[in-house]
Amino acid sequence: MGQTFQQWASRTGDLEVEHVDGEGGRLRLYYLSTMADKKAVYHHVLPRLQELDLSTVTLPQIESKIGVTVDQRLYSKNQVIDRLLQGDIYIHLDQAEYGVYFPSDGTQDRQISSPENETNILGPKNSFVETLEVNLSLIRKYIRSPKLSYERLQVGETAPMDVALLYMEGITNPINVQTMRQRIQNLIIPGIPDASTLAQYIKDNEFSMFPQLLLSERPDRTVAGLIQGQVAVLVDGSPSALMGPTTFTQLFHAVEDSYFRWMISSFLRILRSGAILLALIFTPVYVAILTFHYEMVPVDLLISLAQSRSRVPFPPLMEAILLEGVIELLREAGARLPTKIGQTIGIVGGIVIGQAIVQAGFTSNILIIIVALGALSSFSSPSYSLGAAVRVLRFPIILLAGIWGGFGIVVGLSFLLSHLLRLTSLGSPYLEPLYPLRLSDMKDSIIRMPISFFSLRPQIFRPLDERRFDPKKGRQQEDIDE
Amino acid sequence: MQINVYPKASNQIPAYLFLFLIYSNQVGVGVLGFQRIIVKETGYDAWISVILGGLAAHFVMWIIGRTLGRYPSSDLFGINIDVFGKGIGSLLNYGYMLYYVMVTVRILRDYIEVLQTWMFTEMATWIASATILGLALYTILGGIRVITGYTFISFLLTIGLISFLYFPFEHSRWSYLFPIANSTIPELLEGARRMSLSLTGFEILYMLYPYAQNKEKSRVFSQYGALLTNVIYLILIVLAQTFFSRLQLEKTTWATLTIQQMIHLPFIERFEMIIVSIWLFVIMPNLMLFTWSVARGFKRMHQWSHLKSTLIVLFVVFLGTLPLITREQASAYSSFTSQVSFYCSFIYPIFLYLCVVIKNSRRKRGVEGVPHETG
Repeated sequence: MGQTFQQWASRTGDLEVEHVDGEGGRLRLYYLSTMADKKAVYHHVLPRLQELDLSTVTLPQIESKIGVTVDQRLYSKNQVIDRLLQGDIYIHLDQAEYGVYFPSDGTQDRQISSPENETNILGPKNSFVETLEVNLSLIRKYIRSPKLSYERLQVGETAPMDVALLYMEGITNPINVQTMRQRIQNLIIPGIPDASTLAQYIKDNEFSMFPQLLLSERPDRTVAGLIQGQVAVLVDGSPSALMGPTTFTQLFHAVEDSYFRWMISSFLRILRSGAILLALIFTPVYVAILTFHYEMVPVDLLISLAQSRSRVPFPPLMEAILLEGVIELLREAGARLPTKIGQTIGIVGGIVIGQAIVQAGFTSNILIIIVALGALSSFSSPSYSLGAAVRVLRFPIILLAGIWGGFGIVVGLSFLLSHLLRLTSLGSPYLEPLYPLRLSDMKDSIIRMPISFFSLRPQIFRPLDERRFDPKKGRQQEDIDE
Repeated sequence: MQINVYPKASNQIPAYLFLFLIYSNQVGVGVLGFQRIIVKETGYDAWISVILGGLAAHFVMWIIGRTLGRYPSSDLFGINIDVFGKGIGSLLNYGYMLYYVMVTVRILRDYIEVLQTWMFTEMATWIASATILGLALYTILGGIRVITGYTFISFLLTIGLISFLYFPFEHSRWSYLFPIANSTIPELLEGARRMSLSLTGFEILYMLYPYAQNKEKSRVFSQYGALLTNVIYLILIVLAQTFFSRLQLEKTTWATLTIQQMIHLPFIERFEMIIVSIWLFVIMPNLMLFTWSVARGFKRMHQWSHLKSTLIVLFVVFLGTLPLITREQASAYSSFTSQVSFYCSFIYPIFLYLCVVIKNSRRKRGVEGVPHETG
């Protein structure tokens, strides 16, 4: 072995060397004890090698004995190091032209478990794990079709990571695939720990709070996206898939919507959209009305508002920022703490602080209701990133409401509208199907129409094969049954 | 300078959106209080003047459509240069751009006036104007498609407010409309002329036309847009005339807003506060389309970048709002602009059409060389 390999070996504490034919012999095994499968070494490779005549053995004999093909031959030291790092076992014979490796993988995988963030009642209950192969096999299980295309890309200069680019040949628009591929290939970065980091690197507008690529930990959602004509990206070591192009309305879609009947899912989607709007403007409206526009409130309501606020020494703006801050603090502490303590903190924070803060006269009862409702609403979004964006966006709007009342809120909303209009996802407009108006895509937006309306794939993905099924054929079947 | 422009396909606007573009650019801050000006002139017959003014707008829009139809894909800037030559054409272009800046300043200042009257007496004009122009800048930099999108969504957001007029309509006294046809024809025409400031904005078709995906249809949809505007103005004038007595109306500056005070919901009163706030969504398309047009003029004539010209125009508009401090100044400026807009929006398109026709016939007879491209 050469100089560089020796150097690398001296820095690699987990490199194991097995001298098959004794100290100073010709035949040796190299493997990394942390990556390779030791069972393969001791139960498969070593016993078979020892069956051979070790003094005269040649590499072709070894290959046929342990059952590897010519594809497993290695000719350079760098190749050897690469294979060792993958967890394979390298078999070295002195004075031979090449060496061979025996594939193995001794790394530990997490068991496939039910999704934790995107939970559901109906539908499949498996979620991605941290291994690319397992995730790919999950997707292949759903789509056993030669149309499913899988391109292997590598990202990362210092710590290269496998990235899988998935799309359906003949359905997905090649322009979208090309955009995604180009953006991933053009990256010059040290490495990526997770798909969400990759999303930040390749998204259209870096200075936006809104997610421009869909992040999901569910294979069934990824498969649904692929079949519709989206491009999906999986990253080794990350339990979530990236999908694009996406739209703003897709953030309100839960995977369960397609498992429920259409009226129920439509109701749920409208509820979620209303909740996001509520989360965004409920507290600002309170601040605006109590600071500037109290004449807008009917007298009966104003009396209870005034009574509730009679002991509060602060202006509404300060009161609201204080309480919103407390709620955010509780949420953050709850997310960081271990599960067992987290619940306690929730009770302590929610009930004790809430009660005490009112009794101490720091805020009014009504504001507590409003802030709690707003927080609750922000969690109803199926996309965690959207809920987080709305919770942050609330603060500037509260501030604007405190300065300019209703006009301030509209200034905030107007900016938001312009921002959403300017956003794109892989170059596709973010606010579609509202603008540009595409009535045929309305079937799966804030409402979900009956399944028979879904004969065409969404236009936003510009699919090559627009037709999903023939609506007439579906109805013919019904007639025969009657 | 090129006479015809062909924007790239990704920037083109579907024809149906012209309905919203024309409607949104016509309906602005004027709709909040146009009634008083008309009623002062024509009294009980104000609604007839509104119809007459509306018909005039339809006619002028038709003329504009005919003018543009004589070119494959040109806008006002190109037509002016083509008809009057580089020197006078450029001068006319600058004149029209100046007019647009004046209109933008008026819309902005009037909206701030409404804000100051109804919500914040102490609000500094320059802060409000800087904020609104900042919002406009952010949207305009997204390009014409984003402006169109904003226009479309602002239409969807605000058109529903019409339904709230049901509450004041319950209190209408139809006898306030009588006696009918009590005014003389000149009075009616003067009233219609006074509508010009409220109706102006349709001539934005001059600038947007090259961007239309289907040029023929865009002209039809523009007429629908003007029709929608006219219907809304008619509803509002009839409502104001039947709701207020004539003398009351003559003293009510913002009649549409005052009427909204009638709306009582269990949880909200003083509905006009919401209207005043939400009206930002209505005036933004006005500001953005006019500003974009002026910036486009610079781009067409001097090949300045979109960013540079937009910044300059917005800064000029900002400076323009500064000297209009008091209510009287704003009001005087408003009526001055009103006079100008009658000539620029109603008279000039007819004049230009005649010139184009004459020019074309001279070309056909071979008096002038270099015909513009056709097809």
